[in-house]
Amino acid sequence: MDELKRKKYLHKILPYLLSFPSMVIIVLFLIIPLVYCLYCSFWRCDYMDFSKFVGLKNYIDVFSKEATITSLLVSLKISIVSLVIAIIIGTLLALWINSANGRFAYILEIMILIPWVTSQVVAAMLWKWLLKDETGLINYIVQQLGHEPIGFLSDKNIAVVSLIIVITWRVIGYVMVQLVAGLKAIPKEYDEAAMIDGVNKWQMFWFVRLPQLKTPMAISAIIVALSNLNNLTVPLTLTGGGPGNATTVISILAYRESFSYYHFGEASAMSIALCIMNFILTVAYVKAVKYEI
Amino acid sequence: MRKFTVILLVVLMAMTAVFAGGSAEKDSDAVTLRLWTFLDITSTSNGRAVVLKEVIDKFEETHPGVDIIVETQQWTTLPSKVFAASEAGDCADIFMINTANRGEAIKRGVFEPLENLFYNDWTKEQKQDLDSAVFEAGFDGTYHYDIPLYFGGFGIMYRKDLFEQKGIDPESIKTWEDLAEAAQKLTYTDANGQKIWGYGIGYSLDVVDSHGALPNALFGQEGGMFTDDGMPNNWTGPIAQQALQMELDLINKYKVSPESSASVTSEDVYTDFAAGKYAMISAGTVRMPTVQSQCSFNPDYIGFMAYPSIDGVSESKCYAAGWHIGVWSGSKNKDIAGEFLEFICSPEMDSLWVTEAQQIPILKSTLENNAEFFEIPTNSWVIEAKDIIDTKSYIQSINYVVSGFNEDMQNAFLLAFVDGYTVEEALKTVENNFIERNVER
Amino acid sequence: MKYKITAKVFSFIGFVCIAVVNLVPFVWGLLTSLKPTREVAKYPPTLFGSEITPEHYISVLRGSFSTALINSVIYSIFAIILGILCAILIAYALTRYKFRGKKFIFMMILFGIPLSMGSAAMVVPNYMMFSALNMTNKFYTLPLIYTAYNLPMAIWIMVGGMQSIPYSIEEAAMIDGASRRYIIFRLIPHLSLPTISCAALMIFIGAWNEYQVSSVMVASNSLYPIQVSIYNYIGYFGQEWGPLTAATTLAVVPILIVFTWLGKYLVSGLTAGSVKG
Repeated sequence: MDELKRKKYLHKILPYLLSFPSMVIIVLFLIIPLVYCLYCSFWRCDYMDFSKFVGLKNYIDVFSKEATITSLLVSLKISIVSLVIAIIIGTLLALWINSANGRFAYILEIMILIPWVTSQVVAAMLWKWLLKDETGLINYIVQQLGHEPIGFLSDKNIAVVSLIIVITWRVIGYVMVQLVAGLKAIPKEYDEAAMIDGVNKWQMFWFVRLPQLKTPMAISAIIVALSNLNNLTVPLTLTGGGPGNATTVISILAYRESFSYYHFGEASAMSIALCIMNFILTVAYVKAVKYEI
Repeated sequence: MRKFTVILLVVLMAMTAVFAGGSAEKDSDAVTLRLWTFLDITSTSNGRAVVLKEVIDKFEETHPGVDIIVETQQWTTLPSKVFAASEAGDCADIFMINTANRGEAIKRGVFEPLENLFYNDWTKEQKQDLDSAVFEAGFDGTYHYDIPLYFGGFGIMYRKDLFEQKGIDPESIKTWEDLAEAAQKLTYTDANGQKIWGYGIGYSLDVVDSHGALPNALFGQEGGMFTDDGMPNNWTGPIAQQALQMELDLINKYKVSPESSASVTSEDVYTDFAAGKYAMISAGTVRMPTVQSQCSFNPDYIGFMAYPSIDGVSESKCYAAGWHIGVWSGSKNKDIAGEFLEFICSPEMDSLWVTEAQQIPILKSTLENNAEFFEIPTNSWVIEAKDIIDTKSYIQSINYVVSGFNEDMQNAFLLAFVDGYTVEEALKTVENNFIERNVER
Repeated sequence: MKYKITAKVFSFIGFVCIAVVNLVPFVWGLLTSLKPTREVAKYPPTLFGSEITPEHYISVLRGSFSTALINSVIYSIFAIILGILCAILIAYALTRYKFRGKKFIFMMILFGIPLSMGSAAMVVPNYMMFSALNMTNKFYTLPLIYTAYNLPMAIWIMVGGMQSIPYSIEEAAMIDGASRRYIIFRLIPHLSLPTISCAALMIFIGAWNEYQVSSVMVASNSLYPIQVSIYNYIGYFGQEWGPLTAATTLAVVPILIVFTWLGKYLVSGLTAGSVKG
């Protein structure tokens, strides 16, 4: 009897015991810093000196500035465009890899993955080395072909495109891997059944496969969206927010606020706002795919 | 096999633990000093890093039991980290901070005054030897706090060989218009079909420096760039407008700089200058050794001169800045850290900095003691640079905060060039930004 | 027949395009790293310098880079072991039990994903806080941070993988007299090996490539990871392109090796998870 009771008790607390180590790490390194940052955002905190409690003033100051709103829009624009392109190209590549076989498919897969697995700093720096207006390799080739050099990083509009290309280049691999995994998970019978019904390739994709890919697509979409929205490294290294403020994303503003002006209160306020956007996206995602546990 | 791997990993982890923890637990007589710098002293290619290592080795030799551990920081985040660490009680015993943050560090009591360490024991001659505008700018009326190290000013870096080829005398460049005309002669397409630009500058906000016509005209104008209480002084006046217009004209009218100037960083400009794409660039003296070591042409051909004047009447002043080394006021070993500071600016060590790393000397006597060194063509610019810093420069006051003004100067150009603001609107906008950021908080 | 040839041509063109776009930056970096210092920035660019020289590699490996490389390897291994262990435990709890607060825990993990992508502006306040806890600049600082930053993602993947393992296998094992310990530490890991490898790879990428937080959280040269060490070549006195490209090339190599070797698990691990997902 006692033994049974003990077992029952153990059964009750076991899930908590199992969750404990992870939760300690997550709370200590992710949640508490967030709370501390929230706390900072209510203070005048120049040079990390909590000099005055200012309530919501930092938020009001930050978001009454036109520059913040502009950069927020730039961030959103870049993330969304990049997301759409990444999903489309990623899907195409995934379908291709899924239909190819053996070593060829594997080499292709690894190659597509390279940008995603390498450090963003390294990748952005190497791209800049290629795209530079005056001495970049690409413009050298362009000139050899008898063209005027293209202002990849100096033209207001082209710089945005360059940034989107590099950011997208980085995440396509991730989308591709998720979707290849998703395609492999589709039971063979589906395809066979469809084949017997005599559907063409397009119908096969649209009616048979796409519905099955809903989840991996949503997963990669949310990860890509979050990672693009928060990306500081690539814009900072590639364009530095320029020319002018054409590519100044919100994370660059927050970075400057903390590392150039040492206004940690305002910087924290921006980070918190960005976090809230992230949370909204995450919740929207969970609702969209009806994620149940 | 799997077990073996696990055991191996555990052992490895334990070893790192012992290794990392062990360094802190030496016998109690020994003193360990931490030094925060942005130099990586394992580097063999960076002259200053090599010298810093030599200086430390020599100091440890003469001070048995003292161990100086260099902790390399990223230079972009070093100032923030000094402030945060000082607040948290975890700063290094000796640290470096840049000129822009020197005043704030003094105000917040991060530095231990030099007078409490060694300065009061110095003879009058010693004090005079060290005395300079830069050093004095760190005097708050009672104390000095830091030794200015790695100091430099901005000016024009130019190719002597190209100047000679086109028959231009650098001495003849007195105004920005002279410079623009010279640059026009120097802008050409070479035998390989490559375009060489007369004048180069990078305005991307990724790297901010006080360079170009605008900041230098403002520093040089009557009353300087800032009023005594740190407000912008006449940023929208005729001189500022003329200077900003000149920055635009160099690209649009004279066509001596590429349009990409708006998007490249000064970092890129140095690299491109070394590659031979420019005849002149707006540059800092601290970059001379690096550019000399990387250039694809003879390094003797690189000259350095002060910025020209905007209207031929007012003088042009450059921003002189660098890094300041000091002792943290919370250090447990201030005395010995002070000794190291004294050692670092001793005549012998200063000569070492100068001769091995082309450092602009801290002491007046170093210039005289190393006459031979300065006769070598590659080194002659040091004297020119020293002269610019001593006589034609603005050194930031420690009395007020002017954070981000470098950005504002570059931003004024960008607003006018990229976003189509008029010169006056652009200047007005950055002035407001500055006030919003630093004054009306 | 004709169709087949066209398809082949197309796939060849596609292959070449991908190879160019994805590899050129790295190959160009590699070529640059082999040029003598004075020719690195030379314009017009050439594929090779006047000679192929290992000088930059030698200077990089003699400097702090080697220590940082070893550090990063140790940090990554630690983060992988700890991260996987934690993830298996919590994923088991989340997929096999119904308990109070489960939804809350899961939401926290999901929110952890964007938090771990981190905002650079939070780095300095974080540094202050961990300083106060006396947790900065220790040998365990970075491995723990790397574990924490990649844990939410790893848990997410593990949960997906475990959901696809039928509960009946466990029941059968239990009837055979297997203990709970055996099930959690042996049976389940064995069954979800692809998922574990996939999660491990994710942690590895995250730990290997992290820069911003590492540069601030530790101060001692003996503790720096590889990405910070690369940044030492972008100094106040100028970028040293030769050593910089050499260091970046060296930093990419381990990733490439690991991926060519274990890349197949990435797909199979995710496949297992995406059945229900």
